[in-house]
Formats: sequence, structure tokens, C-alpha cells
Amino acid sequence: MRDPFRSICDDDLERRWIWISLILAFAMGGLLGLYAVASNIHPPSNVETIDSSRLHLTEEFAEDKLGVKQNDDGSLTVTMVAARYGFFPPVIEVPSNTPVKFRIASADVLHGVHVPFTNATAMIVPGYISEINTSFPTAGKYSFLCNEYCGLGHDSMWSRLIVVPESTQGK
Amino acid sequence: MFGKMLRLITVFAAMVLFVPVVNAEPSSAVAFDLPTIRLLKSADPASGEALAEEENCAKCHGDDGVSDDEDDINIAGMSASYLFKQLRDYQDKNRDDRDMYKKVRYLEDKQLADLAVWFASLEPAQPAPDRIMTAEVRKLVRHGDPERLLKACASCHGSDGRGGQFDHPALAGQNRIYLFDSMMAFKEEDRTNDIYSRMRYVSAALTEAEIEALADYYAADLPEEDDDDEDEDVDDSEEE
Repeated sequence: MRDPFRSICDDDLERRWIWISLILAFAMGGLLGLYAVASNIHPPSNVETIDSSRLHLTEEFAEDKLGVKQNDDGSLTVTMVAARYGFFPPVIEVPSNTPVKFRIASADVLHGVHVPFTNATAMIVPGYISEINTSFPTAGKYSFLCNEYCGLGHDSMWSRLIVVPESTQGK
Repeated sequence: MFGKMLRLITVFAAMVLFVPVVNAEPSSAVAFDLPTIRLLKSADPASGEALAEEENCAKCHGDDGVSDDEDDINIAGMSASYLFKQLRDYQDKNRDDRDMYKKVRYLEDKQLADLAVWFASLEPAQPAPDRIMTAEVRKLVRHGDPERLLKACASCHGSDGRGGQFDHPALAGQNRIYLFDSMMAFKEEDRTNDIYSRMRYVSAALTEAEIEALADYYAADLPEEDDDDEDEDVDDSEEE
């Protein structure tokens, strides 16, 4: 069989390496695909939809439902809204070393959330609920920052996260 | 007799205990979803003008939406979405005002939208040309105060105070006393129709003196001033 690359390349060694690099690329792609299917890997964000334009009228993101809630297993769920230009409620207090699930939705445009010095970060896409599962080992005062440009007040879009030492929580 | 009283007390106690279980009402029933946006887009300013005359809006808000009374809001040139939301909030009693409730209680959404687009189409009142931006006001308007989690006014109301999208009203050219009273009402939670408490958080973080300084900065020309020399000396010291 005639090598199809012969028309663009006369050198045998060069053609051999073209084949090797192509085979490697397809093998790696195939391996990643197989791994994703076998391990049931999903996109990193939580895929759950919501009507952002009516967010304050929904059940989960109603104004009196926001904030920190304790689950039966001792973990916490924090429900928050990102809206131009802030995160609501603006102050969240959680204990250290406790599993926390943040559920955040945007009331208007694309936002992001990032808590510097921790691994909490997510994109908040209108129409979807973003989830972050984490825990904070170090007590202290942190900030929620918007890290997706969302409008003229983007640089004002921050709020506060207070991580209190585990033993002092609730006292 | 005693048993009857006991039963009454039990029923009353059950009612009181039940209150926290009932969901709190949303601060506003208005959502800027597709039907609302379409309603505002299809609204008719001419019908709004006729309705404004019928309802005698001019009595408080002036002939052209600019009020002579510093207690009342200038509604000329405000965004239709903001005006529509306020009218619906008065109707739903999410914003408390007896006079406004009486005016709008029997109006339909279409009529509220007509009124909103009519007043939005009018020329807004202008801020005082000689207003001075002190360092304190500049900080609040341009930068806010991160320590107090205070947002810059400009981030939502625009760098020139002409308002932002949907429910962010124009402040520039507003009546001084109305602005002060509104911010104080948010601060003291007498006004609660701001979705997700956005203005309540801001007003709570501001001191009364800061609220006064901001109202002075954004306020309109005083109505008693002469209009004759208005094109001279238009020097807005806000410009850098």
C-alpha cells in the first residue's frame, strides 16, 4: 500500500515520525475517552438548571432561604446568589474542617466565584446552579471575589467568608 | 369558661408558633423575565400619558414628571423597568404608600407599563451644576468601602448617577429630601422592596451623615432657582 504522506514528504524517517505522532495523539484521545466513560466523569460543574430571571421567586433561592443550613450528617449547605454586584447574603460564617457544599446561582449575567487561598472556585452561569464541595482547614477571614467580568461594577463584587475554628462554632 | 379561655389561648399560641413555618413573602413579585420585558416593549406611551392625566399624577410628580415638592420623587426620565417595578410593588403592597396604593390598585399590568414608558420618555431633571464632590463623597460614589462591605454607588447607579439596568434607578437630578428619606427608609427597614436586600445592606452600612452627603451630591437643582442663566456656568466639579 502506498503511503498517503508520500505526496507531501519524501523523507522516510520524517514520514515515520508523522505516523508515530498521529498514532500517539489518537491513542491518548481514545484513552481519555475510555477513562471518562468507565469512571462516569462529568463536566466539572453541577448541571442543574434554574430560571435566573425569576430567581428570587424560586423556592430554593427565595430571599429567606439563603445562607448556611446544617444537614443531618453534620455537613453544611450554603445557598447563595450572585447578582450585580455582590454575593448574597454578604457575610457567610462556617466552621473549619467541616464539609461545606455551596449552591450558587446568578440572578442576572455570567459571574464567577473565587475564594483566594482556598480551592473554592466556580463559574456561575445564568440558568444553572453551580456547586462547590469543599472544607476550610484554616480559620480566618476570606473574601468571595467575582472572577468573571460581569459589568462596570465587577471590581466591587466581593463579599466575606468567615471561617471560625471548629470548636468555637455555635458557642 | 376556663376551658374556653384555655382553648382560645392554645389556638392563639399555635397561630403564633406557626408563623415562622410559613414562607416569607418575596420583597417584590416583579421578575424581569421575558413576559415582563415584552410587556414593557409593547407598552404605549400615549395611553400612559392619557392615564397619567386621568390619575392626576401631576399633583405630586409635577406636570412633566419633575416635582416641585422635595419630598416627592422626580419620575421623569427614569427607566421604564424601574418605574414599572415600583408601581407593581405599590399595588402588591411590597412598597408601602397609601396614596400610591390607592392610585394603582385597580390598574392592570398593561396600564402600569404604559405609565412607566410614558414617564421614562420625559426629560429628566438635571443635577445641580455647581455640585461639589467632596473626598468623602468621591470615596463612597467611586470606590465604596471594602471594610464595611459597602459597594460603590456608581457600580449599580452608573458613574454619572443616571441609573443602571432594570431596577437600578437614576439618582442624579433626584429631589434631595426624597433621596435622603428613601435611603433612611432602607436603612431602618421601612422600605423592603429591594430584591435580595441590596439597598438595605448598603444603607445599613452608611451613616446618617454619609446618607445626607450623598443626597446632597446627587440632588437636583432646587426648584426656586432662576432658570435664566442656566446655560452659563455649567461647571460640574465631578469631572476630573
